Amino acid sequence: MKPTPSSLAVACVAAVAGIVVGGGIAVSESLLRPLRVGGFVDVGDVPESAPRAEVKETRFDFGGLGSGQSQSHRFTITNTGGSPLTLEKGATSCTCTISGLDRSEVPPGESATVTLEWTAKGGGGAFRQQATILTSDPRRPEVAFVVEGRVIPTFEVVPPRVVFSKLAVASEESVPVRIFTHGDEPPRVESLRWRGEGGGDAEPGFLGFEAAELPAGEIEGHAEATGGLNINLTTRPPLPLGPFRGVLEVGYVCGEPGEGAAGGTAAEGETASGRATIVEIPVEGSVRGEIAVAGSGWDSGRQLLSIGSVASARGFRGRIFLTARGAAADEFSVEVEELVPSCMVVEVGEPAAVGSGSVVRLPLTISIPPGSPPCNHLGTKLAPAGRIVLRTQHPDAPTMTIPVRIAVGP
Amino acid sequence: MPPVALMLSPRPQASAGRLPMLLTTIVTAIAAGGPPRAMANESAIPDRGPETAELLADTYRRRNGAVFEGWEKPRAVIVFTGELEGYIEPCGCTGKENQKGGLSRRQNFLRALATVGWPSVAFDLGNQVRRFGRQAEVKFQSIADGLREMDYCAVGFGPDDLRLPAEELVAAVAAVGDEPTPFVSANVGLLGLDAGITPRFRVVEVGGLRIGVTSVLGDEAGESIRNDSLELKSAAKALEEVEPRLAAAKCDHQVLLCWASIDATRTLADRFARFDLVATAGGADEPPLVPQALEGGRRRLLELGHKGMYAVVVGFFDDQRQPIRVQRVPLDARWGESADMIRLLGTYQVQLETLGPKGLELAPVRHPTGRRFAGSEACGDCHDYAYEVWEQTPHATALDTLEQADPRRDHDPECLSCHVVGWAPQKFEPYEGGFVSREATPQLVHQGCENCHGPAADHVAVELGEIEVKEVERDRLRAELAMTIDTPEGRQRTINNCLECHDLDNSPEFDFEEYWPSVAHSETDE
Repeated sequence: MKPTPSSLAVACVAAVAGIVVGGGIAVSESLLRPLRVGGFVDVGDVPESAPRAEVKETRFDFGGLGSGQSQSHRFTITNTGGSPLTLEKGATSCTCTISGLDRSEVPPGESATVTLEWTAKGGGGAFRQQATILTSDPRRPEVAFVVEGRVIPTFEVVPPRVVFSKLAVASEESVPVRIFTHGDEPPRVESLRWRGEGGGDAEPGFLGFEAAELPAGEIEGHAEATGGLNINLTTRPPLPLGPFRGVLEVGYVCGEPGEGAAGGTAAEGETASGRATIVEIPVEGSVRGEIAVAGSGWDSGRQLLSIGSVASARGFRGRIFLTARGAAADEFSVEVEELVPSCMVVEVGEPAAVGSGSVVRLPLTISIPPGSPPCNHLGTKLAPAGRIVLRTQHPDAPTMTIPVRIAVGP
Repeated sequence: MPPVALMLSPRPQASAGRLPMLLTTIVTAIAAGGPPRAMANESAIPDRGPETAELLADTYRRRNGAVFEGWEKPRAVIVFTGELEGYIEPCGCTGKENQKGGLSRRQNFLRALATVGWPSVAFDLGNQVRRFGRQAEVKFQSIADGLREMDYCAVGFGPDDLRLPAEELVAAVAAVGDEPTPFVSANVGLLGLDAGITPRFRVVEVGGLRIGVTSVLGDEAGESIRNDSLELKSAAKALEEVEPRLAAAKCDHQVLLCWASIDATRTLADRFARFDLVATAGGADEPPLVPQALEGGRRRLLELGHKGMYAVVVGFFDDQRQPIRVQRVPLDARWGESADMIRLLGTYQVQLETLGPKGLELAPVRHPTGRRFAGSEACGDCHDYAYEVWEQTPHATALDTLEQADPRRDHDPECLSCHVVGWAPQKFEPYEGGFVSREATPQLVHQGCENCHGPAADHVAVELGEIEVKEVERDRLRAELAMTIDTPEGRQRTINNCLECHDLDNSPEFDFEEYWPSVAHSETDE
């Protein structure tokens, strides 16, 4: 390529710019080099005699397919060019999709067949996979064939697991779990068993379960379902503090036992009838104290507020929230009793209910005014952490202390 | 440099003249890099060399497709990602090079766009995590930090994110100092919509275009969340309030990040037709090559795929015939790894180590059989042939793999559960008597015998004469641990066992018939 005046000017500017941006480009140079994709081909120069891959169909929608079942489809590539077209199998997006090619060289005017065979894996839902065929057509070096549709599970659990994000000791909550089945007959519960952490299969005292058949009205409209069960989980206060985790096993019979569930896990189980399907529904949650802290800088692992280093000239202003639930939420209010460092200012905002009102939030605005004297409360042996001490209305917790990591420097 | 290289691929003749100039510009700029480049290289991931790099580029182009073919430099691009589902990086037995996804490659891809001068913004649909519990909370915080580092402008919430305690969400999501939060939601309010922790919409400017963006959590997803510290409004009601405000901001384009099924997303998109780009959570693992059109002309419905394996890039052009182009970008090994994200992953792993099982609230659970573990060496005392075969397989160094990884992850329950004896692989929790640490339980390191055959402590004790039992009981203990692949039921049970760890996520290439010969250890094979 002969350099033109404009391209030379560009090169000069680029040379200067290169020194400036060299750092940025350099860091990414190892990113850039792997991305070169090969030589340039001007489409306009491709002769008419070159091979040409013509494909009428590249996408096949198989509708619905049962989980674990396989299906295949044939696509056709026709050479409408003037010389032999070479084909080669490329990659598939999943080992569940295999491609077959009946010939690797296609004379002009003839066709090759590409067969895709796939197995519907997974617990149900949308399925889309592809296989690529590489060609010697310079205009179309690769052709991607796509199969898509829906995997139909034997059963589906909605929701697939139950999480009680945050319960208070006195929380009363009820969660319905629906199991939609796809058998020939409606399902019938044969067993309901709790497998909780720490051993034991007895129903945990703090959780109760009840099973019933799902009304027809709730089954209709749920994709391809023919029957259903409703399992109600209910918390029974007082709830034990801390996390809990377990699995609710629901054994049901519905025609023949099935495999390939969506949500939960299916296993061939032994029950009174000897041929039930067992659905496992993971249940987990956390029961925590009635008052909690939330906000940027709050370290729940160490239970402290980390503000870090603050420049005295600039000062600091930030906001955290106290949240209260259960008995503590009634008329929740706090007053500031003590602040370390003493230059710290805490303004207590107005409480407000969140959502349905079972939780109340209370904003605290924390500030270090500009010009505050230096101090070190970073929580070391020589520099103990600061604190915000609040007086609450809670009968069981009249005082609440929030440790604060902070240092004010020049 | 993907955009430059991509301009080397076939494209219409009309703009062919500009290519050589652009090529000259980039080559000269790199050559003049000099000292800054040398300094920067010290902190970068070691270069693989141009030949290796070209081979890799070609390999991944063939495997997962070329990108941006025929694209001129766009006026601006939006990079859409989402549904990371905890896959902070791809991992597994097949090797990272064979898998897609991860924050590290994502950052490198975003940097590549910036380096070649494509004005870009990044939006994320949400669902950074998949599980519940302390590890998920720590991971969500780490991912949120990563998204900030990558300068994301809009991040939505998925249902699994919102199952985390609101206090943890607020700590991760809330604005840090003067830096606004990247999280945005029209209908989800942490501690209430009026708490102001996240804005309900945002307008960003990129390449001279004003882009308005908001996100919603679909109503069906919202119903499954039991978190009383959140305020959830119906998606439609929220959009009735927010969409007019976006319109009033005179945006060139309006984007909706919609965590809902495709059908539910379409219903909202049809009703709120001013959103011309709508990202949806519904859909298959892989995004389509060509996005679906929405009613009303040039509107697009963008499926992003699952597990963060892809980014979907929307480019805006000053071309009336094709003002918008969409490219799905596989986040495969062609993008390399980012030192900054690897550092973030390292910090995450250190947090897990610091917290330990107690801090992660992991209490050992009873094994379904009720039995306890003995360790593979104990098995080898009698089953010497099987033990020798096992010693030659990767199973016998599984824990080493975690310790040698960068960053090391031998304290990560999600990794440990398949790399030591006595953990539940799909539940990421220890069984009673399972591996605790190399120091405390050295006999339970690596992927050992009992993970397949079941805990064998009683059987070992009987065989060593430590416990006296009747012959029938001794035989029962032996039979409990025996496995066979000679019957269809036995074979399927064995395969199901393998799939506990060699699942679709960690071992997508797994095929029992191919893998079995390298670990076959039947005593009849001796």
